[in-house]
Amino acid sequence: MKDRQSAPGDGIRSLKTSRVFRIINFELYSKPNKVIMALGLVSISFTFGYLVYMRHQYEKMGYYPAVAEDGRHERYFIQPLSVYLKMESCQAVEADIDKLIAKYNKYGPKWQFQLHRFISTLERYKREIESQSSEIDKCGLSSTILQMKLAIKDISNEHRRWHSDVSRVGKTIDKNFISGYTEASNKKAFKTDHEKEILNKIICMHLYRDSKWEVAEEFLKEAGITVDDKQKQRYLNLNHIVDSLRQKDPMPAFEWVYQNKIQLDAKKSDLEFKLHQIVFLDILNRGDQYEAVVYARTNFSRFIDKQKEIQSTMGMLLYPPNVTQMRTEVIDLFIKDSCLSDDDMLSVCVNVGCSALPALLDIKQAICRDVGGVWNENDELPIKIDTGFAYHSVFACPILRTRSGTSNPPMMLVCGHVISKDALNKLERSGRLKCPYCPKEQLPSEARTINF
Amino acid sequence: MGLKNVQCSCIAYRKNETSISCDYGLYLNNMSDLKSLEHPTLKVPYEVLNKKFRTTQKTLDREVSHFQNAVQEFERDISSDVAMTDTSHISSLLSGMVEKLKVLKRKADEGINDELQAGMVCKKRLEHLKEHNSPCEAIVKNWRRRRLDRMLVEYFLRCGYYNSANKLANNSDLNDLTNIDLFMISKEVEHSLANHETSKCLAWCHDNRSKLRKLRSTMEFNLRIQEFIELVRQDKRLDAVRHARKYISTFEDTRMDEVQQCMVLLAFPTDTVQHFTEISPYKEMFDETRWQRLIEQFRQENYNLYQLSSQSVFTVVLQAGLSALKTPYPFLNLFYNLGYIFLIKLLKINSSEHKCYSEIKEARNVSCPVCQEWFNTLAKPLPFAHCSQSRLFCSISGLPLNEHNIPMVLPNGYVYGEQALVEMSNQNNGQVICPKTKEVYWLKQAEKVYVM
Repeated sequence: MKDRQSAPGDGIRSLKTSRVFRIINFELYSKPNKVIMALGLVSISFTFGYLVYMRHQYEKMGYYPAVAEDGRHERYFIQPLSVYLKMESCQAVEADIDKLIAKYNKYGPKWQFQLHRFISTLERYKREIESQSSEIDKCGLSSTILQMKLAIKDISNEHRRWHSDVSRVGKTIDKNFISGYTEASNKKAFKTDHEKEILNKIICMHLYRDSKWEVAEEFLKEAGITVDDKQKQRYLNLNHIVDSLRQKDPMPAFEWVYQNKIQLDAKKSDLEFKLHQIVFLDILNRGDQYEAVVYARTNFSRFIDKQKEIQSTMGMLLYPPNVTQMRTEVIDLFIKDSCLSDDDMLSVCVNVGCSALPALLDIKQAICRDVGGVWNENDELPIKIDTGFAYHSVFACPILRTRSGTSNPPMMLVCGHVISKDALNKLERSGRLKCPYCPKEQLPSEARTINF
Repeated sequence: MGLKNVQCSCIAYRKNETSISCDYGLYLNNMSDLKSLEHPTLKVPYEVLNKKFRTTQKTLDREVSHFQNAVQEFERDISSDVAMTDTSHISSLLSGMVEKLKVLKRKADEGINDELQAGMVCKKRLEHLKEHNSPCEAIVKNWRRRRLDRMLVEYFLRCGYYNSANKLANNSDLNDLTNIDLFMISKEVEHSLANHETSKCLAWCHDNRSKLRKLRSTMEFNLRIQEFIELVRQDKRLDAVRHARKYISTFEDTRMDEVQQCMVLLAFPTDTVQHFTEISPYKEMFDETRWQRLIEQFRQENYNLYQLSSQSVFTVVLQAGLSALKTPYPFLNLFYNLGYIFLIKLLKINSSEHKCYSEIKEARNVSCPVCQEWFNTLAKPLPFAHCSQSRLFCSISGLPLNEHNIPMVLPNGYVYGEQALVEMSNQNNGQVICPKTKEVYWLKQAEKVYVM
């Protein structure tokens, strides 16, 4: 080995190594070969290109990671799941139905025509036979009838073949829509007569509110319930007022305002002013500017505290405003102030329920094996449902992540941090308590119960 | 522990969905409630279509075979030379065939039209469901209102308020979108059963024989037994035996016990029937409530036949909605208010809970459905909404409590928003009045609360 002279440019080849090393790392010792290098370059660029292409294709399919419905392992959904679902549920069924309807539309008239032709042919033959009574085209007749026989057999066969189309519609419906929503319901609820009666009353009120008088009256009769006449009258009145407001007649609304002045003042409602404003604008819109100013003089003087609004109202003498928009605003205000809220309670509940139910069904599938129902003993739903409505403060302990309740009220520590009572009991160490959020230490008895 | 994991992963799953993009989330939400609620809307017309298809197929097959018999007769006669000379015979054969074809033509037309109509109902409902995805706010809102009406119609039908259901459907133009026809048929049957007639129900059993057999229905058997009992009651024993031989004997392999039981009735003379009916299994057989049970059974079987679930969508959704909106606070506030904590120790919790509504108006939120008296009663047995994160609102202003509106606690333990307290103190020379207990404090006495 020693005798081998190393030349400049030999690089690693000049070093002393073992044969094994040379064999394993042969690429260090081979001389550069342009042909091989070119081949290698081509193949490696091809490989990378293919990888990029594959990746691109994969991304285009749009998979994204998600947890499977049974909640156990990750699965990859196709990302346009939502689009896919949207298409699938209704449009898959629709496609099948369309196919079927197209068949009916195609074959129905076709068969009618065919049968009509057969009938007329047979009648013609019959006439010929009766009139000529000499020579009958026996062959022709029997072959025609044979043809008819086949054609008619075909009709029933064709119809039978549609069976698969019909049942496919059913299968698609089953596949795309979930049939058993009862699983997510509480079997015990709404069973007593008292509850049923209340439910019927709620429905009846909803119908009144929706100004479906006939239906409501009929329902009252059939369900055998009675509703307070006062409430009924109230809805009747309020609906009447809203209707007349829409028809540019503010008088009933003014009457209502005078009747309920005390409550409105307590609420600091500016309904009355707004009503005057809309009347003023109506007069103005008629083009009667003098009368409008007179109206403003007589009526606006009482609302001294609303200078800004009066200013802008009088400014409308110069710049004619959008009256229809103002009118809907006033109507909304009226509806709000008269507690005839626009979306009534029943529809709020039902709409929230509609969005909550799928989640409940999902979770039901996931947990029924362990727990035995969505409505378990926990007196709490198993998942959070984003209703979009929040009416009450809910305090959830930041330590234990549970909702506070009567037995577990929120407690404020000396430093101002709030935790639940259960958490406080758990954090207590030998009569002392350290706040979990700051270094402050205190006695457990120093914590105060607070209410939101 | 397993449960918690599942919960978390389910929430993660939902998050994933919504995080893709807002639009997708919206669609997904929308679709999922369609998916889980609208199965019966589509499935019932499908079942109708399927039934019509079968009857059409049957009539088609029958008419085709009639025609083919005529053809065979003709072929037989035409091959024998004797008949060929008799033109009147041939013409009568031909006219017979023409008649058959005419019947076939009419039946095919009717059948196809029936099927087409059933298909169109399906398609119409799909069109209606697709409106749900409309990007236009107003359409969706209107759709939701109609959905509520649809649910109400269904609820009415299930409760037996047929007139109200009809009126509501007419009023809101929902006749094609609800399963009103189905229930109208069942109404007739129920009515006849209530009048102690079995014929209509038997006809119904006959109509749906194959499906009922698949469901292992005992409807027909029970009806026959009932007929038998009625005959015994009228002391027409011979008729009863004849009846039993004719109808009941076919059930011997499956329901031997019951058959034997009812045959015992024959063995006793009429005057002892009175005494006899004191004995347990036989007493029930003569009971009038058996008819009521038959009606119940009929309803259930009818639902099963069309894959309707046993509860109405409306109640299930209302339960879910109430639960999702239910927070402990409308129920709990009473305990903290008005020094009730002491009272609770004296009174039973239940009795004081009822006072909640009359005495604690402040705790209520006017727009919260669960705070309304009627809804509150309904919601009482339902579980609370799940909550793992605090959601706090100032009960004076209704604004959320956060870093812009810091929660402040008064010395009596009630928490309000900073903005509302500052505003109140500005009007009252630096003093604040707790709206719940009417105690007066200086603003300085309010302390900051930190809620994580």
